[in-house]
Formats: sequence, structure tokens, C-alpha cells
Amino acid sequence: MAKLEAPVDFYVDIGILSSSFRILRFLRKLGFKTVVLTYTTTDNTCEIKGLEKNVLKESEKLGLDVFVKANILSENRGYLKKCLRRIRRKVDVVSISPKNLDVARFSGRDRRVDTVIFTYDELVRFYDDSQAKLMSQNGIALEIPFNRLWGKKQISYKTFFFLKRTFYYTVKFRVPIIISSGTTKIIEVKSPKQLISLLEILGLPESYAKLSITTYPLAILKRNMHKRSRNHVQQGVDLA
Amino acid sequence: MKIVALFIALAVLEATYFLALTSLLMFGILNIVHFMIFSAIGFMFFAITYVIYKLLKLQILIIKAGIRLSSEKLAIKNVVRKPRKRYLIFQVLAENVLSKSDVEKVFSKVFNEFFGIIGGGEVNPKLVLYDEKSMRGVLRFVHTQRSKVLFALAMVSEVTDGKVGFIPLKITGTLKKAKEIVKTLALD
Repeated sequence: MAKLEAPVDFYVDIGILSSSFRILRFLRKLGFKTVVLTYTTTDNTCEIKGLEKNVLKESEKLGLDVFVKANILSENRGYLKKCLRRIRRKVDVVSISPKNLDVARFSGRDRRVDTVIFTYDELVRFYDDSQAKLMSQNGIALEIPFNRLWGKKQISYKTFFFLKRTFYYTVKFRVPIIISSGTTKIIEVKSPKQLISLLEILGLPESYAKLSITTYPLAILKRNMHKRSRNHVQQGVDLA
Repeated sequence: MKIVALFIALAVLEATYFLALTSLLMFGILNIVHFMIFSAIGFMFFAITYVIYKLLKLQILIIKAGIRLSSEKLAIKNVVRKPRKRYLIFQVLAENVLSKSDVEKVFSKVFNEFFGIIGGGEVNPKLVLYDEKSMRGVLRFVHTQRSKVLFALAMVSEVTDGKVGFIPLKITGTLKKAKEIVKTLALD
């Protein structure tokens, strides 16, 4: 198994990226060693394309480890199940952006899901102690994309109140937290230290904040690489 | 908690001892003189146990107070720490070229919006150097407020509706080194 290195940008949106090579170069210069390129799928189109060869070549040149992630935007639980069945084996990471409470709870319970992406609105509406408990029990990480977190509304003191509440539940129930950039264009690129500064200004110590771009995302990637290998039979059962 | 449990266990043991002594006296196995002697020994042990229990509790309280005092001392030390300077080298990403005054405006807007007067005063940001050609600059701030500065830089793209982005490249302790790095470091 290849040795993965931190820091990790867990969400770079490849679907909208206009200048993917330049962004990859930027990310490498900023210090990222692993990048997860994300395709967003909706309920209507549950399809995933593979990575282009050019992107793979470029990332190899730069010394970046590149993985593919499917971000499923969903309102319908039945369709989400179908989509998960179809996609799970094709991609390295599966994330869900829930649009209602039912889907949020389902994504906190299903073991095929790796991370649940919450933006500000969803954090306020769906992320409470029950959701945190569910995610903690099933080892599902909470992912916060920095650029998408704020939404279109004006940022107010309430935003930071709800963020603080989120971190309270996350630390209390030991939910792994991942801070990603959610980059779609070059101006939105963030350095690793900028990503962890969000946790630091809300009172979390630096050593804990660092886990959100190093240990937690790497653990998910390693787990999934192992799951996709030929030796893996079931959880806890491997071919010798 | 463990000390309380230990004290209760010893007290129960001594109560059993007294009970046994009384029953022996009632059955006539012990005479009154022996009963008095053994009772005195029992009382003595109970008194010693109680004194030790109280002393241990007192010691725990003293340790706790000491920890609190040292943490308060540390907090005060942090407050009276001499604010040292740090220099952050950043790169501006924008479609149009930004002048020095534009960059200063962006900084004052973002610090005012997110940290207010008090937070801004703690950070004390100042644009020391800015090169319009390369769109790289140096921002001076107080060394304890690194995370606030980094967060403010990250929020620039939100404040300007995604038109401008600031990327931190390096943090140094001297302006001389910062100037050297500005000349050499580039993202593209």
C-alpha cells in the first residue's frame, strides 16, 4: 500500500474546475501532499467519471497523491441507497450533503458513507447531539468545506455561535472532524494553516485542529484503500 | 474519592471490631477490664484513621489551590507578555491589479468585520510592504495572534464576493528576512 502523507485537502471540486492544473500546482506549493478531487452528483444523475489521464500525469509530476470523491446531494433516501450501491466501489471516498433530516440521519448511520458534508444551513438544522452520536458510533466524519460553509447570507455572530455549538458536539461525542477547502476556482484556494485557523479561533487547541487535515482524512483514505484491495473480504477478514 | 472510600471501609472494619467486642462481653468470654482495654485500642485506631483522612483531604486541597494559582500565574504571564512582531508574506490573487490602498482597505474591512475594535487592537495589523507588480506584500502583526490573521486572510474571498483571494506564503520574525523572501517566493 502506498504511503500517504498529510496535509490533505479533502474537497477540491473537479466538476466546476476551469483551471485544474494550475490549482493542483498551487495546492502543492501551499504544502498539500494529498488532494481529494470531488464530483458532485444529484438524485437525477448518479454517475461518476474517472479521473482524466492528464490530471493523473500532472499530479504524479507534482508529487501529489490524488483521490476521487463522490459528493451526493440528496433529498430522497431510496434514491440515495441506489446511488450508494452503484457508486461505492468506483470511488475512493463517498460523502453526502443531506438536504433533509431523514437523509442526514441515514447518512450518519450507513457504513458505506465516509463523511457527511454540512454547510452553515445544514449545521443549524440537522447537526445536533443525536446526529453527532450516530456519526460517532459508526465512525463517520463531519466534513466542513471552508468556502461553502458561509453560504450566500451575510456572516453574523450567529454563524460563529452555531459553529461553536457544532464543535462542542463534535468534541463531546468524539466525531472525527475534517476541514476541507471546497475550492472551485483559484481565488478560493486555502493553505493548510488557513483551514485549521477556523478551529483555532473558536477555541480548539492547535494540536487538535491539526488532526482535521492530517490524521482523520488520512485514516479514511487508508481504510478505503484497504477496502478496495483484493485482500479485503469483510471488515476484520482479510486474505493472507 | 478513593480516600473517602478507604476511610469508610476502615470505619466499617472498626465498627465490626466494636460489635465483636460487645458480643464477647455479653456472652461472658471477656471481662470488663479487658473489654475497656480493647475498646480504648479500637478508639485509638479510629482516631488515627480520622486524623489521617483529614490530613490527606487537606493536602489534596492544597495541591488543587497550588494548581489554580500556577494556572492563574501562567494566564497573567500571557497577558503581560511583550508583544513581539511577526511578518506574514502573502500573495494576492485577483483579476485586476490591486493598489496598496486597496489592500489596506480590504484588511481594515475584514479585521473590523470579524474581530472588531478590541480584536483588531490585539492583532495590530499593518501593511508594511506591498509590491503591485508581483501582488505580494508583507503584513506585520502580534506574534500571539497568528490564527486570527490567518483566518482573516481566509475570509477575504468571502468579504469581496470571491473577487479577491489572499494566500499566506510564509511567516518570519524579521522584516529583513521577509523582504528577501518576497523577492524569491512565488506561487506560479
